[in-house]
Amino acid sequence: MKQQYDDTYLARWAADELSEQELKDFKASDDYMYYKQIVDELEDAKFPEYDLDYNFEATIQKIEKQHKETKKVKRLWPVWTSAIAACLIVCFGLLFFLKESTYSTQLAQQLQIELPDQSEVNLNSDSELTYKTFRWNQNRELNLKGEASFKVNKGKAFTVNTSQGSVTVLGTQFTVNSRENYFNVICYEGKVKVTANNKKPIVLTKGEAVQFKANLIEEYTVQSNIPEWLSKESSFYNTPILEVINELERQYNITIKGKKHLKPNQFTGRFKHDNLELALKTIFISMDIPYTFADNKTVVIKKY
Amino acid sequence: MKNTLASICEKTVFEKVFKDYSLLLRNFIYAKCGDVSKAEDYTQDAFVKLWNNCAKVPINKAKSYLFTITKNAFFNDYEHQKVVLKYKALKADRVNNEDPEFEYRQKEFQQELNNAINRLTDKQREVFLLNRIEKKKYKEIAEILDISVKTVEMRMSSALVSLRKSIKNYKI
Repeated sequence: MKQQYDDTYLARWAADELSEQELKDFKASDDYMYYKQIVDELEDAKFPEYDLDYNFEATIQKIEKQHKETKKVKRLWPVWTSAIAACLIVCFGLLFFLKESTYSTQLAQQLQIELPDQSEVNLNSDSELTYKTFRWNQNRELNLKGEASFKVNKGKAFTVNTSQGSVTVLGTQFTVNSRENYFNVICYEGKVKVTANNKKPIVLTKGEAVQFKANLIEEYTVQSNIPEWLSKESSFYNTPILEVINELERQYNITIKGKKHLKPNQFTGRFKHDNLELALKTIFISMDIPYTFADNKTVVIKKY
Repeated sequence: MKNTLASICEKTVFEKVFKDYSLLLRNFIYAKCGDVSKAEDYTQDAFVKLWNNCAKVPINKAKSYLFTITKNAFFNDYEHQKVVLKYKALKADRVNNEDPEFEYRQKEFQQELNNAINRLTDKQREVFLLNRIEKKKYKEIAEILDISVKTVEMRMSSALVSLRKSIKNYKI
């Protein structure tokens, strides 16, 4: 007969707590033998041996080691080291936020730069460009010394700061030329706003240009779609002859002496960057300026 | 006589507490996890913690403190791995002059029971082993585990039923 056990029946049996009748019934059941066998089997069973002294020693060692470690940790890394670490982190962080990229060109050198937003910059000879890389897309602002042309991708306002004024655009292609006493902006595409120092802003659209000479502001138009100097040519419109000759020096990396003899004329025209003789003739002959070569890197303007 | 209660911070007292409870604690964890070195590690760690907090634990609370922090530590660390439990001298050599067939079956049964115990749930196993091997009364087990006697009895009964099912084909 199958015995129906309650929840604690077997437990009570194992603890000898069953009543006589219950025990008698259980002994009569088929299962009894199996349970008896299990309990008998474990009658003399023992847990693995335990070495009290060994475990006590081990515990004491752990306690001592723990005290040593806390002391050691204190000695190796006193509080001030974390202060220094924090300072270092802040410094590196600042360096990162304030990090500026600078590009510059030597005489007779041009450089093409890609900005973080894929806008392109072409830097003409003897020029320097700096900008902050951090959050460039939110703050598209750069500083320019010399001449550069920009092809700006659409986005937030893009500003070129120079010592003589700033140029702000949204997305366009233009050239900024900021030299001593000469500031020239040409817009090839889109719209740019030119703000010369202490002057009213001037807005240029496609094909328009403006140049600031001494105290004279002159607006004019251009035909080409890209800056001439990108195709190894310099182009001028009513540009002071001194600025033209400075550009000649920059492009060919030569020295031109006797600039004090120059009369305050203006030059309209262009010269190529790959033929010095021809370039000199183009400018000096058309302007009636006498010159000679002192050596192959130096040109002297004679008094006229 | 509160004032005369010994402090665990005294090394001799600590040693006495260790002698009194460390084996019980070790077996308690062993019944749970079935790994001697792990069980002894937990035991040592529990006593390290007791030492660190000796000022806060009155001596009459030491035992329950030890078991409580061990249970917590165990609960945090232990990820119910498969238990491989071996208890030594499962049966002392009380069978001597039996025939080889009987001896073989006996060994086989031991092995099978061993496996069956390993297959018990942690809760069944700790109650079963503490009662059968450590010879702890249900009341004592209930006290250690902080559960009711009735619960201990239910776990003991269900452990026996599980074992019975596992070894039903073994009849010596």
